Parts: sequence; C-alpha cells; structure tokens
Amino acid sequence: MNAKFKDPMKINDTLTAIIPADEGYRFIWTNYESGEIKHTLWEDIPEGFYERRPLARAFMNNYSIEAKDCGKILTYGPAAGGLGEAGAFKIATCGERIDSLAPYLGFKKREMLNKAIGKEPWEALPYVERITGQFSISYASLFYALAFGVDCPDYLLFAKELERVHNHIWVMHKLAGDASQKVANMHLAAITEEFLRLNLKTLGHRYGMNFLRTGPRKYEKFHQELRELKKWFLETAEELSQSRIFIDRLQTTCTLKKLDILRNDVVGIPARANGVLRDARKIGIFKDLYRNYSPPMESYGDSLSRFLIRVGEVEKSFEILENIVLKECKVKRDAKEDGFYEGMAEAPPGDIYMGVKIEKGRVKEIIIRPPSLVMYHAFSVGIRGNVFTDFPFALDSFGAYFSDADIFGRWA
Amino acid sequence: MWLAKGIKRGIITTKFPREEDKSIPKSLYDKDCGFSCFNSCMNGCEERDDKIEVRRKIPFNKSVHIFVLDVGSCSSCNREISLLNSPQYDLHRLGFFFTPVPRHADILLVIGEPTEKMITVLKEAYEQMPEPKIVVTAGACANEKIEKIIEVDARISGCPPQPIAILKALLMLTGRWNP
Repeated sequence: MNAKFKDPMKINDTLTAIIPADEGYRFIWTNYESGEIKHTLWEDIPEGFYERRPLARAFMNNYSIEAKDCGKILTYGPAAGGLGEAGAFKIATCGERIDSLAPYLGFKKREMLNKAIGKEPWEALPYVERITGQFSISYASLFYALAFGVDCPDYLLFAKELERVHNHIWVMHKLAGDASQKVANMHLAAITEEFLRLNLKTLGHRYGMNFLRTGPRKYEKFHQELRELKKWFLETAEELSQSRIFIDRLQTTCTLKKLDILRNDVVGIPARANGVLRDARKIGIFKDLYRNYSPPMESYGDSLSRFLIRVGEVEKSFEILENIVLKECKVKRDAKEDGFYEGMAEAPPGDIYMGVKIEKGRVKEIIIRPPSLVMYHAFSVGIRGNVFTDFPFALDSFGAYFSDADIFGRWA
Repeated sequence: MWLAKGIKRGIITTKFPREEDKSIPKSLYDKDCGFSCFNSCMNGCEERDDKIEVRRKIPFNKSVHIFVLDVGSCSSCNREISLLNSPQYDLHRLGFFFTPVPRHADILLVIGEPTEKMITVLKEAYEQMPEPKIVVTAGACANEKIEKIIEVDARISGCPPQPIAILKALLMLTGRWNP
C-alpha cells in the first residue's frame, strides 16, 4: 500500500476511492487500460476538486442541494415503500421536474465488516458474503482471491455468472413493473425465482452464500433446466424489447452523456451504456477467467441502453454457463502471508475495489469501494431535469442497493 | 401474444397450502441453530431457512396488510419478500397485501439487523400501527435483535428465509394454516 504525496488535481486516472488516513486523505486511482491501481496522499481535499471530480462527493458524503426559484427540498425515504430498502434521497423540485437529487446514505451503515476484523481470513469470509446478499458471490470471490489466491477458477466463473444472471433478470423485472408491463414483470419474477432455486441446487444457497465452503455440487438436470430458462428468458426479453410502451418509458430517461461518464468517474454498466469500456473483467483480478469475453456496449447512455446491456450480458452468461464443465474442486484454506492485497472485480452493476490487510494471519483491515456508491452518484447526475414519473425507470436501471453503498470505507 | 405465452406455460403457482409443494427445494442444511443464531451461523453452523416459531396467533376474517420494514438487511431478505408476489407464490390469492404505510398495516414484517438510524424509524412505525399489532421478524439478523426493541409475535429462521417459509409463517399467524 505504498503511497506518494501527489496533487490529486494533476492525476488523470479513474478516481476509485478516497479514504481518510493519518496523514490526510488516501486517494485510490485505477488505470482502466493497464489495470494498475495507484495510491496517493494529500493533506486535504484540494480546492476545486469536487468540481473536477464530482464522485469525490460520494466518498466524502459531501452532497449538497439547493432549491431554486419556487423549489423545495423533500426527503424520500428511508421507510418509503417505493425504495424497498432503508435508504433515502434528498430531492430539490419545483413541482414535476427534479432540479437536483442527492443520495442520503447512512441508514444501512451496518457493523458487518467490523465482525470480520481480527478473524482469520477463512473465518472472516461469511461476513464478507453478507455485505450485500445480491452480490454475495462477487464479494466473496474477490475477498477469497485477495486473501487466498484464485483457486477452482471454473467454479468461481460458474458462480459469478449465476449471480449475474439472476441480478440482471431481477433488474429487468423491476423495470418492466415500473413501465406497467405486468405480464412481462411476472414472467421475469418467475424466472428469477427459478434461477434462485437452481442456485440452491448447484451452489448450496439461493444467493450463493457459503459457495466456497460448499464447493461444486452435482445436479444432473442443471443443463436441461438452464436451457429451459434461457428459452423462457429470451422469449420474454424479445417480447419486452418490442413493446412501444416499455421502450418509450425508458428511452431518453436519465441520460448520461459521455462527458458525464468521464467527468464523474462512472464505471460498469452505465459507462458501457455510453461506449466507455470500464470493466474490471478486462483488468481486474479475474481477467484470466474473462480472456475471451467482450462486454456488450451501447452508445445512448439512457435507461434503455442500460437495459439492453443487461440483456446482452445475460445472453453471454448463459453461453458461459452452458459451456462450463465443472470438476470436483475444494478451495484451499491456507491464506497468503501477511501483507496488503488489493484488487478489482466486477459485480453485476459495476466494479468493486477491495483491499485486505493481513497481519499475524488475521484480517487487520478491509477497504471497500462498492459499485452501488458509484451507481447512486451516476443516478444523481442523470436524473437532473427529468420528471418524477421517470424516477423509478431511472433508479431501477442502475441496479444499486443501499446496503451495498453504505458499506463503503475502511474497516479496521 | 403475452396471453398466449401465459396459457402455453400453464399454471406455475404452488399448490400450497392445499398440499405440500415438493418442487420447492428444501434447505440443504438440517442443522437447527435456533433463531438467534447469527453468530453461530457465522462460525459454520449453516442454519435451516424454513423454521417457524409462532408465539401468538391472531385470526383475521379479512384481507391482511403487511408493512415491510428494512432496518439494516443485506438486501437478500428484501428480494425474498418481493418474490412472494411472483407467480410461484402469488401472495394475493391468499388474501395478503403489502402496504407502503404502517397506519394501514396489520402485520409489521421486520428484516435486518437494526442500525442506529433505523431504530427510531422502527419504533415510530410500530407506534403508528393500529391494534392488534403483529410483529414478524424474518431472517437471522432480525431474529436476534428486534425483540430487544419491540415485542415479536413470530420468527422465521434463515439467512435469508425462503419465500415459502415466510408464506407459511403468515398463514400460521393468521390461523389459516396449521402444519
């Protein structure tokens, strides 16, 4: 974790995180071409940095919104039924139009990772699995790869793709529901439930928690059920993509321009929906697993583009799952030597950064930058100027979770 | 077209509670860790996701409205509860409906390990509910902590509990199904 004092205003890499440190602030940067992760130190947040790198507001919880003209600021959440989670947004509005919006985080600041500190890496794994249930496999596999090394790669890929499929289908289910496409909404809910049942049969848990401890399970009907689900999904997605009502609701909603993506250090699906390839599968710790993978790309940057990216990713995930031949494999339980290990991996909506410090064989420190924090920031940028009815189409297209966003920080 | 596809697929809704549905895969773990086993689960005791404890039954002769309150879950319990609306479970056919406000709720369904900010929200939601107030906790996180804050009438084990277990608990609680 070597870090140099370097003015953050003069760095052009993608800003990945800002963490308070003894000497001031630790800035973490990622070069999405070489995959290099750099750390720099600075005594304070430089003047003008929030304007140059607005994502810094998410890391420093420094959002502020002002009501203009006839505007008012309202808080939506944390127990409001529409959000479905304990989280909130502050919204400045003068009637129908959303002038500006800021994520209001902290309602789900759980102590989950504090429980992992001081434990041996293998004992800490169950806590990491429960950071965000939906991305349990992504977090667990990244933590495992950092603390133990990449072991049983086929099984890791298999589990990661199962997770990607059920997450993307669930996001599509929500979007279809928002657009009042109730039949498609129910088909996609049913496919999600069938997929979670398939997870239980093959990984030992509906969300893949403990999948590393269980190891691959033999389920003879896996390929048959997968084929049926693929057919069911593709038919539903095709039908949905031809619905004018659905397209009209998503097209030009919450549009992020290419400049917004670059200026706001956005990664993952919203970046790829704009033709910007920022994807940890190409540079991160699992890049060897995705050597022949080319992520789907779109160019309009709206909710519809993000939806189409998900459809494309699900199709590719089905292909990967169909071709994997799982062998019996037990992951090793001997952690690496003491040291600081860091890396990036792709969760369904975007990239996770994680740093793990092992000291005397125990987890001393974990640094996490969850993808949802970036997604909520991207949502706050894209939703400006949209009307209230666009809110669910915009929010659901990012597939973010408050439980995920609130885990950001350094746990020691 | 949608209609034709629906008819072609046929009914996929579970026959439960008329008869037990064997197509729903059961938890792979039969170890009984009790209900407040979060820490023991973490230490390798993988708990069952279908154990139900009902402490008080309140029969309702009307439709029942449920207010779901997430006080700090990892979001998988949220998904399992949302899936009760999926065609496989179709909660509405059994007279249960979700409500976005506690003032219209008969049942407060709490999920997650309460965070500092959400304890006040939980107490406020409980106070706003009309009598009789029924509180159900779903999942190991909530089972362990919520009863220290408000009185709990039923608990469902699991991390997260399966939708069918939540459905069974709701039916047992309202006197509509007895195993």
